[in-house]
Amino acid sequence: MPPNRFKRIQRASKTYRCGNDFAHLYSTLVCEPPEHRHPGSRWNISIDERRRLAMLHAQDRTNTARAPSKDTLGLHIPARPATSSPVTGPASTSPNQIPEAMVGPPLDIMRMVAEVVSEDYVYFENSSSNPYLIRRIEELNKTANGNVEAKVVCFYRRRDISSSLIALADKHATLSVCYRAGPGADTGEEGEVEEEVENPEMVDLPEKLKHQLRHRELFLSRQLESLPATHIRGKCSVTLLNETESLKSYLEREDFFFYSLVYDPQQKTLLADKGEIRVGNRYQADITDLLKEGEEDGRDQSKLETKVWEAHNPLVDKQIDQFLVVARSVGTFARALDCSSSVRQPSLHMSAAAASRDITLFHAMDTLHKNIYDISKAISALVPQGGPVLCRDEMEEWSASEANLFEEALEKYGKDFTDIQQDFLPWKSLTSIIEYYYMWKTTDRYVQQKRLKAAEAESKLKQVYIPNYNKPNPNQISANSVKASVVNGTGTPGQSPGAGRACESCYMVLPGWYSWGPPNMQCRLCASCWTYWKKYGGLKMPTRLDGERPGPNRNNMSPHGIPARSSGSPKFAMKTRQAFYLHTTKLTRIARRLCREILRPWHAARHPYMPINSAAIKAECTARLPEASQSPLVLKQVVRKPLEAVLRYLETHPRPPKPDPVKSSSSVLSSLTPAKSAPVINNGSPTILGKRSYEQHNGVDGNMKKRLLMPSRGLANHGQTRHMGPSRNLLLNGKSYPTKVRLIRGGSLPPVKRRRMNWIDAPDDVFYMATEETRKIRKLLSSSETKRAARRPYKPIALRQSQALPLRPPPPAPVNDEPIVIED
Amino acid sequence: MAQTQGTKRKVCYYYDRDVGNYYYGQGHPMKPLQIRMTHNLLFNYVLYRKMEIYRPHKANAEEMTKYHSDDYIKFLHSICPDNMSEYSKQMQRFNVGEDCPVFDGLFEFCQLSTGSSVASAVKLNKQQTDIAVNWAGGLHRAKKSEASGFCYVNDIVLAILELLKYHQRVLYIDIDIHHGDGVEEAFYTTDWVMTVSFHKYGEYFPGTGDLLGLAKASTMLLTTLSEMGLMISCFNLTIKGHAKCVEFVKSFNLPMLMLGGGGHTIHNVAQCWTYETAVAQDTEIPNELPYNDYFEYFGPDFKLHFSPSNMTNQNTNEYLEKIKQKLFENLRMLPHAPGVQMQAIPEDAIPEESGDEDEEDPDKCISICSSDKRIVCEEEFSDSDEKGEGGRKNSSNFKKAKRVKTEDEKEKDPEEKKEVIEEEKTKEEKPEVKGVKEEVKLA
Repeated sequence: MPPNRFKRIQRASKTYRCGNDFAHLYSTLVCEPPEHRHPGSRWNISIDERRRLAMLHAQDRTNTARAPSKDTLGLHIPARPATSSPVTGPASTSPNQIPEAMVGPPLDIMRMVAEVVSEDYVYFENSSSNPYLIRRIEELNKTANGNVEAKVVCFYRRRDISSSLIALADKHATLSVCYRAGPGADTGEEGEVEEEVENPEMVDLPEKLKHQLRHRELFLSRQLESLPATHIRGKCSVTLLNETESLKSYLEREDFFFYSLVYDPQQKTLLADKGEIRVGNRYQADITDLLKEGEEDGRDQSKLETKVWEAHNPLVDKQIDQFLVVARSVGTFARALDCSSSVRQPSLHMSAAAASRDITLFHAMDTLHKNIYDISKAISALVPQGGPVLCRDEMEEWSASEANLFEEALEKYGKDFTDIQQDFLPWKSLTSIIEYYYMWKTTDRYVQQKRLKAAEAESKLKQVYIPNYNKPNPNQISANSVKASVVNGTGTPGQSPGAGRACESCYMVLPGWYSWGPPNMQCRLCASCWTYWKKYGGLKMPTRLDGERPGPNRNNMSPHGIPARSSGSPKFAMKTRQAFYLHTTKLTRIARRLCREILRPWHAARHPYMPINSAAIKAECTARLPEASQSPLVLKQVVRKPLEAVLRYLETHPRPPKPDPVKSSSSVLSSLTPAKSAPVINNGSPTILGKRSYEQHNGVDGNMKKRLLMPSRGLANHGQTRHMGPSRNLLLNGKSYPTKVRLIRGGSLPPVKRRRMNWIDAPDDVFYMATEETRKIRKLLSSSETKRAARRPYKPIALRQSQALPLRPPPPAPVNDEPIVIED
Repeated sequence: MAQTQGTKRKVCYYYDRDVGNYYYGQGHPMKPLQIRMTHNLLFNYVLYRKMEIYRPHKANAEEMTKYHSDDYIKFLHSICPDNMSEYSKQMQRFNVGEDCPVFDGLFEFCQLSTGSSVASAVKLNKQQTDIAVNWAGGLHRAKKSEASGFCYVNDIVLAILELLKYHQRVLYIDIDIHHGDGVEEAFYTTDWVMTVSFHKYGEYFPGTGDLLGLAKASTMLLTTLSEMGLMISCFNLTIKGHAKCVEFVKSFNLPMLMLGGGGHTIHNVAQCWTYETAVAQDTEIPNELPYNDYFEYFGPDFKLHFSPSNMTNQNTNEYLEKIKQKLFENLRMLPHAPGVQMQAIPEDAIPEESGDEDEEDPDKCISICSSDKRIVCEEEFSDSDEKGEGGRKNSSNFKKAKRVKTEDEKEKDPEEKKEVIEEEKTKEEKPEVKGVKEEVKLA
């Protein structure tokens, strides 16, 4: 144990109140174990009396030590029953017990979250939306203005550390085995065996648990910081990863974390927090050879040891005891004869007590041994010619003035005995000072000093009560808040934000919401997932983006079976959470063309994970731009058929009766969705704020094909707000056309309409439902044509006439070539 | 070696009167005073008279360099608080400074603790005693060329080296809040010494001593029991719990060396060491502490035993069971005692073990076990035949006796659970030790 930790143990503490508006921190006095009892004045009483006194003093001291706790706490503490009174029972020195005794029902700190002591692990809140910080309390200090400040050691979560380091950690840490997919991680000599033993557990861990386990991994740091104790939100525990512990056991325990690596936030490095057993001849011992039978080791025991007592001696216990009494008597007499002693111990009583110190007795034993356990010889050895033997230890050797000097020195230098010796007591040896010090600690004088010191140490707290923190979190979504109910003009009035949208973590809809993630995302979490987020810094379920930020989550079923949705429609569980698009500026678009060879758009499209050096492109683009403007780009006008035309085309090609695409798709869907499946293909995410449910738009009739394929029948339910040019009875999003649009409708070439695309209403999964017809057409295309078409979806597919079978007349020319602009 | 059970065992005790006067420095948790406090308690408990008491010699540098490197010992010999500035580079190199301060008489202190341990080992070698006790020893963290955790010279390693002259194998048991990594490192690559360390694994310095480390060390015959330096208040180990280990190891009637070590709460350490000395002597001592020079340190109740705090035992039975299993698995991988016939093992040892450990697949165990042994036999220990087999002839009898004992213990378990939480722990530990022992015995 490093010395600094040891020092902490010695601190006493006191109660006080911190100035914060909501949190009153109470600390209790934790009395230092009264280790040393003063036996009254030293020599004027018998051993038995000393003993009795020592015990009395001990109780007395316990009393005084605990008494201040009543006063300083400033609380009404009912008179405790006599049984728990420190007078009758030995005082508890355990810091755990004192608060228990004090925290009776009458105390008004009833809702105590935690009683925090040094070396506790706690959650700190530094931001309402971020997960808690996990810290270990090193010290609790009272600041000048009365607040409690905690000096803490920082722990880092995985999310706090750069992904490259995390990758490194996973690669090297023992735990990485469990993050990896399968066995085969061990390459050691005993690899085979270890795999059998360890890997099944790790491999078997379901993805969800692996995901959650990552939230439990922390990184220790050597970084210290000071935080106000009022930000403590509860206790947790952190342990060093233990390989014998099953990984699941970490998950089973709440507020339980582990670490195996140490993170250096300055250097951005990770280290293993482990000593290591090193191998090499610089570390191992050279083993001595086993001696052969009869071989001697050449050890001369007389040089190794000196016997001072033989257990198998002819004396019985009684004889030895008697001899010890004789030795003490001789000692008392010797003190009477000795001038210096008689000054120090004026009474016979005191001389007898002094002669009973262990040093006299040890000497008596030695004398017995030296005289081969012959008592009469030993007695004569105690009273040699020239007077009786006098044995004195340091306690007795020191004069009163020396003792005063020592106390003065101790006050000045602390326990730096070398300095004390040099500056105050140069005539004493260092060992005698040390010996004296330890004996001095058994005296009254020491106890008095200690009391003084205890008063000084008040500002060092050992314990702090953290009352329940019940201030509402600002992220909590209040049920009757309406101010955010209209988002982008599409929210249904009266609906609270996020209504109809499930928890981002568990996909449930439960009362009690917290907004989560960037504000514009409008994501929210249910209360239990919010707590999980705050504590563990992640979402319960793994998402594609590792749960760290909100994002699409396409492949996850609700973990709870049928989602409890208020709208009663279960199918949303599998839908996209969030639609997004890239809004390009003109310059970007120009840059794409100008710097084609840098951007390599095809390559980039196929390697979306490769970062694009946009800075380089930008720089290059600015360089080329003036030049390019000289020779304007020939932009190929893309001839695109408007959707309307396609629809019209499709309408004129009645679908073949047999394969019902709706049915088939619904059957696919129903296999995925657990409950009733009214097939909706392009409905928006249920968690998107302000989005109407499918039923609201479409009723419950599930004939989707009609709606999808025949917008002209008045049921345009697409989330798409793509402008489709004039069309006779086109409805947008089920709403009637804005008047402006109506007016334009008749015009031959309407101006580019900049319709505000509500990204929230943007479609999620749009797919094209192929009919028999289209499939036939596909077959006409060569594979290279198919591929090309796939890569350039904007290009019209040119069907060569020769290929075309009974091809219908080509669809009417597009009415409208205008570009579709989507704006944020 | 062949001591009949029942008779009291001879105990030799090493102590130097000066040892209590070394002072590590202000605020340093290591206090050699605890050795003197123990001694005074022993004396006043009248335990003193029942053992042979020796004053040790001061080990010289030559003895220390049997393990430690020459330059390190030379450095320890020459450094003192006055010339520290001249040695700053070496201090860094040898990790002397913060935790391992330079204090007056540092080298002498090392000499005394080492001298006692080595003398104890020689005494055991000469079969002049059954148990040797040196509370000044047990500085288990010291490395070959490095001080660590208040330990400068590793008297344990030196004593074990001495023991190895006469004994094929040594079991080293270490109960301390810290891991005895110095001893483990010294014998990491040998099969002659098995180190078992019960410590707090976690952020406590030094962070070594997980199971892998343990598994790597190996076999033994002889028992060196070293221990303590326990911070009782933190470990919540009661004295009785701690002493159970002494009792248990002692029950094997093997030569045993008991060493001290660190310790932080001096009066607790003294109480513990006193009690364990009594256990070694098979003597019952009253709970009331006798008066002695340091009596006031033992307040407020002045009792030998103290009640454990109500802290929860985080070592669940389940956890201990898991460790046990893992240990057994690891031990099976070890080459067994060098120089021992291997044939007898499959029939005897395995059924016994698998019975002990809640039904494992016995077939699997056997195959791993026996194949491993064969490999070892052929390759590494070809010279094994020369090494004696002495003292292990009656292994089957020995084992049977022990087995009975285990069952008894297990039956007793539930009854005693109430008593002290930590007792469970100690009891759980025992099968480990025993399992280890049995294997070797059979091997």
